[in-house]
Amino acid sequence: MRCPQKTSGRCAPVVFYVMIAAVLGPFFAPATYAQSAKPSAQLQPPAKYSAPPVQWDLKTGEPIRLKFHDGRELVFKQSLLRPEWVSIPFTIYENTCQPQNIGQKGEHRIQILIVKVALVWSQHPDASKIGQTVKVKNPDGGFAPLDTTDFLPPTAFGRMPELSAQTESEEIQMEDFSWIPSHGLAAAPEELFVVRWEGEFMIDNAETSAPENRPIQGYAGVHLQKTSDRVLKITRIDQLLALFSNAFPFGDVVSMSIYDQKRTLCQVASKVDQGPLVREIRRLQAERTSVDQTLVYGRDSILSLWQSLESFQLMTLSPERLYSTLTETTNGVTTTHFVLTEVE
Amino acid sequence: MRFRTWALSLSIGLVLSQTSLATAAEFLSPHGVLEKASRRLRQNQLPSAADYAELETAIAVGNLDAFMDQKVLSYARSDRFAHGMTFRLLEDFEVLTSGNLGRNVWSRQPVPPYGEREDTLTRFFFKLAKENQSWDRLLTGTSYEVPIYETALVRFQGRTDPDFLRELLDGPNPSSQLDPVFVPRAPRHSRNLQEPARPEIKLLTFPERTPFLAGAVTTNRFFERYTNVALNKNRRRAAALFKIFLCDPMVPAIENGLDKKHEYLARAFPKEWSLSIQDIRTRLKSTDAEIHGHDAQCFSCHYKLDPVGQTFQASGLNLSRSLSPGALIYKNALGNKVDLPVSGINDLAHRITEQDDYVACQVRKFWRWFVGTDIPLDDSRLQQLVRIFNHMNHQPQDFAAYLTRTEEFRTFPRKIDRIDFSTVRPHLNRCDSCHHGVKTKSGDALPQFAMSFAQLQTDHRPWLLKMQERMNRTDFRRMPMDWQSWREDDLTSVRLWVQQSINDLAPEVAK
Repeated sequence: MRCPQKTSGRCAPVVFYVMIAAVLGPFFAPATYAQSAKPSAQLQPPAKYSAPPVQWDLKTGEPIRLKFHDGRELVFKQSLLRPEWVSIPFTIYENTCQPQNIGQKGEHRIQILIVKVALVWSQHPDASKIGQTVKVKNPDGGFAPLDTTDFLPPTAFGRMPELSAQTESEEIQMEDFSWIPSHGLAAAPEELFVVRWEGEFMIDNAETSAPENRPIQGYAGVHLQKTSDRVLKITRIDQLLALFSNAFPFGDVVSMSIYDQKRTLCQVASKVDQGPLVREIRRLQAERTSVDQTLVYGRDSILSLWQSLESFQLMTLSPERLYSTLTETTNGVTTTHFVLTEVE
Repeated sequence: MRFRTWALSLSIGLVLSQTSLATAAEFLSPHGVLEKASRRLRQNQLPSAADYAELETAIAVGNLDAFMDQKVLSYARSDRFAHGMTFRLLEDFEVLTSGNLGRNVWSRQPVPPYGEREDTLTRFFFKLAKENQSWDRLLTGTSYEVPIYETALVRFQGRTDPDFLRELLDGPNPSSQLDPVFVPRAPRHSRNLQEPARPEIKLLTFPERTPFLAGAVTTNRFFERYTNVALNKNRRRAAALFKIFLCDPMVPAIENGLDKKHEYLARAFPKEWSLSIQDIRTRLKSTDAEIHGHDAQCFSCHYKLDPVGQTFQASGLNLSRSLSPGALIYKNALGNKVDLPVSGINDLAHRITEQDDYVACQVRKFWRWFVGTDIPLDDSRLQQLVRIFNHMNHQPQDFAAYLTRTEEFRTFPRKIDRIDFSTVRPHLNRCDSCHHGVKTKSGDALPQFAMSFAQLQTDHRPWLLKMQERMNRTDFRRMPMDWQSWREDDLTSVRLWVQQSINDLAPEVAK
């Protein structure tokens, strides 16, 4: 397998790609979705390319349909939406303000959501196709199903109203919280403020293109409160920090910046065991194979996380994969045309 | 047309006269001075025909000095001066990006790739030069023009400036924190894909001495260029400050590609190299003189990097309003230890600009940019120029114009016998940014020029010949591809060094 992102000669952890894919979508406010998701006349190829048009049929409260000129029809469907808890073990290996106070082990407990979304035949002359995921022709000549399985952290799915009852804040579970600067006790403090909480991965430097480790995701201004002697729970996050948007403090190394009583900003760094998260994602991906819930326009908010039909292109599940694009320039004006791709 | 011919012949004549007079005469002619001033102050632009005509008149009426004073100042007040200074500063900050990150991700979207789109740092540099602000504002400035593009997809090609400055743009507002900064846009298909994206420019102005701001340093591009990890503790950013503002070369004690690397690593980590920072700290406290913290080579940097790095601790993926106290500690040019506690990044910035070494460093830079590295600058002259720079309130237009009126500016450069590798290494880095690791048709990987050419070997000669051939081409294969953005002096240095190295490596018979 080709390794698109090398880390010291090895491929980056699978979860890195999963996370990148997970955070691609949520860029646009829900209001934008309604605007950008409207059927566009320009999606219909011009007559000289003679491809039959495909029309979006978007009515609030009804399934999201994609209608072919000959009566065939696709609908968006999704798998079960159920957040799952996962524990990410970590070990503190550095504490700049209390250099000797290290080695504590703990778990960062977080909910994740694995969801599969697909375009499924709802009308087709061949009855056996109904309920099957549409397959589109790839450049290599083969056909591939138009679906995607997505991973979402709570900062993303937490915005879905239908999941608000099932969404809970992240927490840190530890036997010993004495590593917290100016705390000194094993029991959790009543509250904790973390200035920065960031995870590192190796990616290319935007200026030099050289691959290097750097923080790529996390939170700034994290307020935590004690729920028991062993647990600190997040009550507020002032700002998400993400190079790729909507992630959480996860990486090869995760560091926190916390003030001590002298207002020195201390750095506490942890090594993270990524295995449990990766295994859980794989388990849920294997489990969530069926897409039996029809997405309803204006009600189901998973789409609002992706916000625009355009963003689906980034997610494999791309209505635009139903088209080929042709670009022509006439009198200095460049126009892009869309031509229907072969589907089955 | 007639005048153009006259100007051309004058120019050729000037070159010939300069060449022939190089050993006989000491100074450039007034025409040569005007041309050199115009080139240096206006991004290599030649004087206009009218400028030459005015010069002739001024010579005829004996008003040459007044004419030159007025002319160079007008050059320094031009937009081209501001553009030139912007380019010099981008180079000085080493943020001249290759700009290819994510270029292939969405080739159809009209937003320029990272490094080609407008950014806060570039606008900051341009404004400083154009408005003739004090040079110190590079460090102490608290006003920014933030370009906001009409899409959020751009974040995939590197973090956007609005994201970096979000806490400043939005304030701490948890309810709005989940959505990135963006402006809703029309669906893709209704846009003209060829039309370049135009950002909205948001002006952010904060009071003087805003504690979490430090001019060009607290910008997205500076943070993106000098990234940080938990282990590094912002030492990389600290090193950039020492290098840019105090002209401390910050040569790593453990230099890549040299035999000494093993020696130093062995000293730092006698048993194994893959140790954590905690292991390193333990060794720092150890009495073993052979280990990292006690090694003079290592300590020569860490005593100054660590406290300056600490002032960056509060900011990472975004710029934070929180502060992290630190200190400016270093040995100044007189050998005295400077030890100044600072409350945060802005305090640090002001402390740096108060240093004599800072002023001397910036004066040397202006000298390099406008007079040239081929004219020596001795200490007494440097001190004299420092006083003048201070007298001019560190205003770049005035000082640049002044330098072009000095005697040294009019002096013919001394003949340089050999080009040192350290002169061309930064330029070879630019070559490496595109070529390193690329394979030729025959399957050979190109060497990392800036590293491997430090110690030339016989098998480097074919590469050098290839470089020479490409640099001399006039077609699309000409290298460097972006030669127009290179300084003429730099290109000449590389050419001369390549030729010199080819000669050095020539087989004995040929020699």
